[in-house]
Amino acid sequence: MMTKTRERKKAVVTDEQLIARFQQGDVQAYDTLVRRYKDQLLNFVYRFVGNRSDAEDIVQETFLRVYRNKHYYKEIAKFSTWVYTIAGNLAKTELRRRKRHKVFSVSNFVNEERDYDIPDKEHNPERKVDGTIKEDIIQKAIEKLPPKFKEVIILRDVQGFAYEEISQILNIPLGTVKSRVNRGRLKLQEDLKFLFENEPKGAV
Amino acid sequence: MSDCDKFKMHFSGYLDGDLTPTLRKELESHLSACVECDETFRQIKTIQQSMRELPQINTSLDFEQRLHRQLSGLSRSSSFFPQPWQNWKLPAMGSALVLATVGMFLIFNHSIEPTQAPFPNQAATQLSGAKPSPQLEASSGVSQDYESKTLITGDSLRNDSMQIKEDGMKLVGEQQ
Repeated sequence: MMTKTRERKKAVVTDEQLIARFQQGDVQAYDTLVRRYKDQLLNFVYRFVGNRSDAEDIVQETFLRVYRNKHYYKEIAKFSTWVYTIAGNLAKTELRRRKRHKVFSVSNFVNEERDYDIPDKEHNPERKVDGTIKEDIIQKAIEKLPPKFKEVIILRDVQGFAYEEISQILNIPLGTVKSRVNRGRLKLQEDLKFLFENEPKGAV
Repeated sequence: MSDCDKFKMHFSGYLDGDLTPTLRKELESHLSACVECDETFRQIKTIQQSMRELPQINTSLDFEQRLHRQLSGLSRSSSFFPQPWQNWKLPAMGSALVLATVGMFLIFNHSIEPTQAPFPNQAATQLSGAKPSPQLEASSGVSQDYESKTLITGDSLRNDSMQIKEDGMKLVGEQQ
């Protein structure tokens, strides 16, 4: 009973309380924040940069910055907003660095390189693409989006953030977020229609 | 802008339940009449659903260990200065550097004074034209007394000339 009550108490400690404790020197509070956010940040950054190892390095750097700059956090914003802003900026910097060094080429794969193993119509009349390949194609299409659409699409449709919080994370007006989400979704549909066309209505 | 383009601008709002009742009805009526827009909207909905279902990845098992290693490196590198000093250590180091540079400049500036060269003949041949004219010397306002006291001996031409002589420092200080 005692343990249950204690666990419940632990569960309701908010991120903002944890960062406040960390600002006063409680390193365990920092560790709790790392455990809470490491995986969701990794998914956010991975969808952004498309490389797991780079994504993990960026998340490491994000937490290092949280550690070093803990006193810059003010409780006017949610902790999640702050930490996502840091991670998002680092991810954008990484993309800019890659562009400068031409580490990778943004291939216009959807229109030019459709060399994915899409099952033959004859053998699979329902044209169900293997799940992993489909996920891979969707990931590539997300990566191919212009950064301003990509960040809002990942935050909204992959991570499920509210428009208001996206607006705070990216520091852009709410109307701009909504408009970019709409344009980003249309762009994705344009790039991915070969994958989803002629699916029976209502099929997901 | 065609009707289709106009309604496409509201697809997200419709998907998120963010439209006014009037606009929603107009859009629904357009979708039931336009096969192309209906198909586009259906695909957007399907893609959005697929993105929500993308597999989640996890950080590697040693993620926290690696982070702690980096953090301990961070605190070791900053432990040279106690915590309360860390906010002003950079400006302090910067000031020290500037002072050291100015000090070095003052010392070496006097050491290359042509009139004080330890081997006047050689200096005159190697640095012809470097010697200031008598007029310039007179107008510079530097007294002979000052120069003679800051004399740096022939040692300044040796390899260890970067070593600052204690008496030289003392004399400069006294003159000032």
